[in-house]
Amino acid sequence: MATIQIENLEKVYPGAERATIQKANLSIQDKEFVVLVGPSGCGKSTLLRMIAGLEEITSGELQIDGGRMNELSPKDRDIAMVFQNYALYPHMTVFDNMAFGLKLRKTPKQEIKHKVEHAAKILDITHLLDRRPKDMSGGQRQRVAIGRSIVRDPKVFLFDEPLSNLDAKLRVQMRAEIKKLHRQLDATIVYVTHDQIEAMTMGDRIVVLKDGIVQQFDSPMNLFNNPQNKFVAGFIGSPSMNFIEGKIVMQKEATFKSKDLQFAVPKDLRPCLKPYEGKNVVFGFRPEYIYDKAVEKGKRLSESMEIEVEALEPIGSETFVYFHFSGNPDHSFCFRSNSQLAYAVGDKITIGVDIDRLRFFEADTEKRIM
Amino acid sequence: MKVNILYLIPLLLLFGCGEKQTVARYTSWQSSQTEEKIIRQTLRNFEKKYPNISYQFQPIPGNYTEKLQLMLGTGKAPDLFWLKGDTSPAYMSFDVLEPLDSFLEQDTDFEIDDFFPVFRDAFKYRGKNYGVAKDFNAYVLFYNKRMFAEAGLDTVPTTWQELYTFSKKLTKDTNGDGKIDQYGFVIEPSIDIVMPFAYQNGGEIITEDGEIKIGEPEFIEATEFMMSLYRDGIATNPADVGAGWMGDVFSRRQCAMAISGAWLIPYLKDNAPNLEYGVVELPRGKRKATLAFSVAMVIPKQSTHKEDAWQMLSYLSGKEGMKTWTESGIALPTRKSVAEENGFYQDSLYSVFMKSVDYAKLYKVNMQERWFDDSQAAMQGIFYKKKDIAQTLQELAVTLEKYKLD
Amino acid sequence: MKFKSRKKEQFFWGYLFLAFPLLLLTVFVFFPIGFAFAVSFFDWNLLIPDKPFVGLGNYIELFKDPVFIKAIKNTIIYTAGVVPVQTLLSLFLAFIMNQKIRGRAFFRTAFYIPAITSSVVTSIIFVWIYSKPGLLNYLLNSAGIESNIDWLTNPLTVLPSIMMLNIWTTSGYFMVSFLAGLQNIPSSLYEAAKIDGANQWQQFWKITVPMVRPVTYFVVIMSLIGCFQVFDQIFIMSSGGPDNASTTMSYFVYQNSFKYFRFGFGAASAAILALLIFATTVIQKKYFPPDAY
Repeated sequence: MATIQIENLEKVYPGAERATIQKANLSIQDKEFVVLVGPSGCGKSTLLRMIAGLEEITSGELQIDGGRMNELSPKDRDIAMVFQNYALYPHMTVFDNMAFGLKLRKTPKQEIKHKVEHAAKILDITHLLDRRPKDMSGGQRQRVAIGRSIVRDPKVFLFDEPLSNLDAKLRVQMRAEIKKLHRQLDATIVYVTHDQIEAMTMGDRIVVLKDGIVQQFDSPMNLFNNPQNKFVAGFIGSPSMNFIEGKIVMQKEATFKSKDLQFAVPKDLRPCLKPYEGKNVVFGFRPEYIYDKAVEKGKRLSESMEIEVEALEPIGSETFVYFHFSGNPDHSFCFRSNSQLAYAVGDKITIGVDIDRLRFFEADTEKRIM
Repeated sequence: MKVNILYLIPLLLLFGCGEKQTVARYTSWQSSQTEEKIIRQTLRNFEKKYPNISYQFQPIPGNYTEKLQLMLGTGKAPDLFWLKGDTSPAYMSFDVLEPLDSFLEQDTDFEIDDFFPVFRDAFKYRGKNYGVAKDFNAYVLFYNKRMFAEAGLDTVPTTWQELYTFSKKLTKDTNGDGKIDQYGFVIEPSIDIVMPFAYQNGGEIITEDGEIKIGEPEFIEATEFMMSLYRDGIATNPADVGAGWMGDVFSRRQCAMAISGAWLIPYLKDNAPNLEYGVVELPRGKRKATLAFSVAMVIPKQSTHKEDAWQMLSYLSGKEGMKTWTESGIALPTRKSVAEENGFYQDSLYSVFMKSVDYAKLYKVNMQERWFDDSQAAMQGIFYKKKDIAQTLQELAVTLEKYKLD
Repeated sequence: MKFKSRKKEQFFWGYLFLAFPLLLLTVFVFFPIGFAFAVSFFDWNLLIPDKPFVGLGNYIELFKDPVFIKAIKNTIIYTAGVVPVQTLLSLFLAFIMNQKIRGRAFFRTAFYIPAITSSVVTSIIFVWIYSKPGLLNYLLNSAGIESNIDWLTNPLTVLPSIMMLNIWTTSGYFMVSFLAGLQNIPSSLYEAAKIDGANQWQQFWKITVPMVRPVTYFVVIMSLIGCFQVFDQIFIMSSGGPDNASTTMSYFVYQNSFKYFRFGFGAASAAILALLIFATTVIQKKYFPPDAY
C-alpha cells in the first residue's frame, strides 16, 4: 500500500523570512495520481523534494505506507523521481541509465535485463537501448527518464515538471501517455506542474499551493466549481475567473455596487451576503458562465449588464470576447462565446451571469463567501 | 590613418637600449657582507692611489659561473674578474683569457717572485701566465680543545692511524641516552675531501702528463680509509646530524675534529664564539699533503680596457692590496712578504696554513668541468649506496678519460 | 582606406592584428626552438669561436652517456608517479571543496596557496622539512613510525620526496580547474544518483569522474608537460644527486649547457626531451580524447 501522509510538514531555510512550506497537511491515497500545482515560488517542487528526501524536513512528519520517512535517505524510501531536465547519465547508454540503480543494488544480471527490457517495451523505447542521451530527442529522453523510474518498481513515483521542456504538441501527447502509464503501473504518483490545464487533465486530486501554503486539496471539478478562496478560483480555469471589487450596500435590496457596475444580489444569495452589508467583497464570475441575453434563453441569468466589446480571440471552437462594462472602460473582462455569433469590436451587448455560478469572496481574507 | 606619437615610445625604448662602455668593469662573486666590505675598502684605497682610472665594480650575486659564461659568450664580459682555480683549466684551454706575461714583464713593481712558487705558477697554461692568485686557502685540521681534554688527549693526531684512534676515543654518548652525540670526526662524500688523503698516499686524480690515476690502488686505499671512519661509526656526516656542512657540525660541537679552510675561522667567531679550538696541519699518510684553493684575477681577451684592468689587478694583488684584503683573515696571502710582514707566521692559527703551503697541491684538475660532477656522483654512490670502492673508482677512471683537456 | 572587397578588408585588419603577437611568438618561441634544434647538430661551446658541425654526433653520445640514460629513467618515473596521483588528488579535493562543508572557503585557499607560492621558496622550506632533524621525521616518529634519515641524501628517497613536494604544490592549482568543471555538472544528476542508491564514493566515480573528462584531459596534459620539465626543485633541493638519483632531463640540459659549456650537447638532450613530451601528448590525444558527453 503506497499511501503518503503529510502532517504539519514545514520547510524553513536558515535565514529565510518566511517558511518555504508552511504546515502542510495532506493525505494521499494508495494508487492516487496527485498533482501539486501553483505559480512560481509556491513551494511545489520543494514539497516534492521533501517527499523524495532531497530536501530536509524542518518539522512535521512524512509517512509513506505508514512508515516515518523523515530521516531516511532517498534510496531507502522506495521512491523514484523523474526530473524536469531528465537527469540522464550522459556517459551511459539508455540501457545502462535504466540499469544503474539496479546495478548498485547488486541485482542479478538476468533480472536487470528483464526489467529494463520490460520497461522499454512499455515506453516504446526498445530500439533506443544502445543509444546515448545526446543522440536522442527531448521526448525520447523523457521516456528514458520515466523508464528509469519504472525499472525501480517503487511505491511512489515523483514527477518534477517533466513536460516543461517539451513543445506543446508533444506535451499533450505525453500527458495522455503518463495517464495511461498510471493505469498500467497501478502506482501512486505525485506530479508537480505549473500548468493548471495539465493539472486538471491529469490529476485525481490536485493540491493548489501559494507561497508555501496549501490552498486547497480537491478533485479537479471541485476546484473548478467550489474554489475555497479567490486564489484557487483565479488559478484554476482558463481564461481565469473575472473579479470585480465592490461593496454590498442596502438599497431597495442587497445590491452589489462597484465602479464597473452594480446589480441586485439574486434572491437566493441574499441570506449569505447580508452579514457583509457595508463591507468590501469581491464578485467572481467565470468566462464560461456569461451569456449574451439576446441569444441565451434557457438559463437562469442575473440582471442584465451592459458591456462593450474591446477585443476578440477566435480560437475556432469558441471566441474569447474581451470587454468592459459600460460604466468603466478601464477594467477588462473576458467571456467565452459560441463562435458562430459574430461580434465586432465596439459592439454593445447585454449579458447576464448564470445565477448558480455567481461567486463572492471576502475582500480581506479572500475566502469564499458563497 | 594617423599614427599617435605615443605608439612610438616603446619602439624607441627598445632600440635606444644600447649602452657604450667607457670604463673598466670589475666583477667578483658575492659570498658575505664582510667580504664585500673589504673588497670595497681595497678599491677605495686603489682610487686614492690611481685617481685617474675610472672603473665600475659589479659583483654577481648568484650563479657566477653560468653568468660569467654567458657574458663571455655574448661579448659583454667584464674587464677583470675572479676565477677559481678548479674552473680555470677549462677557461685557459678555450683561449678566452689574455696572457699576462707582457704586463708582468713591464710592471716592475709587481715582483712576481714574491709569490709562493705553487701560487705563482697556479694559472699557467702552455707556458703562458693567465692569472695571478690573489689569495689562497688550504685544508687543515680543526680540533675542539675541550673535547680533547675530556678524553685525556694532550697531543694531536699526526698520522692516519692516530686520526683513527683519536676519533674512536672522541666518539661518545655524552648524555647517557644510548645515542652517540659526539663524534670524533666528520666527513662528506665529496671528492675534495678525499683528495688530500689520496695525495698523502701517493695517489693522483690525473698526472701532469694527463694520465688518469683515480682508479689506482693509492687512491682506492685513501678512499677506503676515509669511508672506514664513517662506517665504523667514529665519523659523522653533516646530513646525519642535520647540519649544512662540515664546519657547521664542528661549530655545533657535534664532532671533535674537522677538516676545513680558514673560512671556518670567521664562521666560528660568529656562530660559536666560546668554542675553544686549535688548528693543526693535516695528519700525514705516506707523506704530507693538503689541498690548496686559490682564486685569480684574470682579464678576458675581449676586454677593451686591458691597461686599466692590469693596473687594478696589479694593485689589488700587489703588496698593499693583498695586505688590506688578507689582514681580516678571510683568506691567506699568496705573497711571502705580505705573510711575513703581517704576522701570519706568528699567529697560532694562521701559521698552520702558511706551513701547509710547502707541501700543498693546488685544487686544479686539467679536465672538463664535468669531471667534478661525475666524481661527486661516484663518491655519493660509494657513500650512500655502499657501492664497491675499487670498482666505482675504476669505472670513474674510464669515464674521466673523456674529459681530459689537452 | 579603400579595399577591393569586404573580404579583403577583413583579411587586412585580421592579419594586422595578428602581426604583432605573431612577431612576438616568432622571435621568442618559434625562432629559439628552431635555433636550439639547429645548435644540437654542432659542437657549440659559447666561449670557443670554432663550432664544428657534428651531425648526429651529440645524439649518439647522449645515448652512450649513463647519466643521460639515468635522467630519462628518473624523468619517466617522476612523471608516471606524479601525474596520476596529482590528477586524482586534485579532483578529489575539488569534489570535497564543492560540498557544503564548514570552513570551505578557508580550505580552498589553504589548498591553493602552495600553488601560487614561489617554487624556490617551497623548495627551500622542504629542504628543512626533509632534513634529518626536520618536521617530517618528527611527525613520523610522533606517530610511532621510526624515521631517522635525511630524505634528500638517500638515493632511494630523494626522488619520491621531490615527487611528494610537487604533488602537494600543484594539486591545489589543478583543484581550481576541476572545481570549475564540477560546477558544470547539473546537481540533478547527483540527485538522480542519490535516488538510484549511490553513496558519495559511488557518486564520485560514476558521475563526477566521467563528467569532468574534458578538464581531466587538460589537467593530465598540463601535468605531464610540467612533470617532464621539472627543474626548480631538483636544482635547489638535491642538485641531481646523490649519484644522479634525482637528475632529470631538464636538469641534465642545464648542467651540460651552462656548467659544462656544451651548448650543442645540451640542445640535443633538450630536443630528445621535447620529442618525448610531444610523443606523449600525441598518444594521449589519440587514446584518451577529451570528448565531453
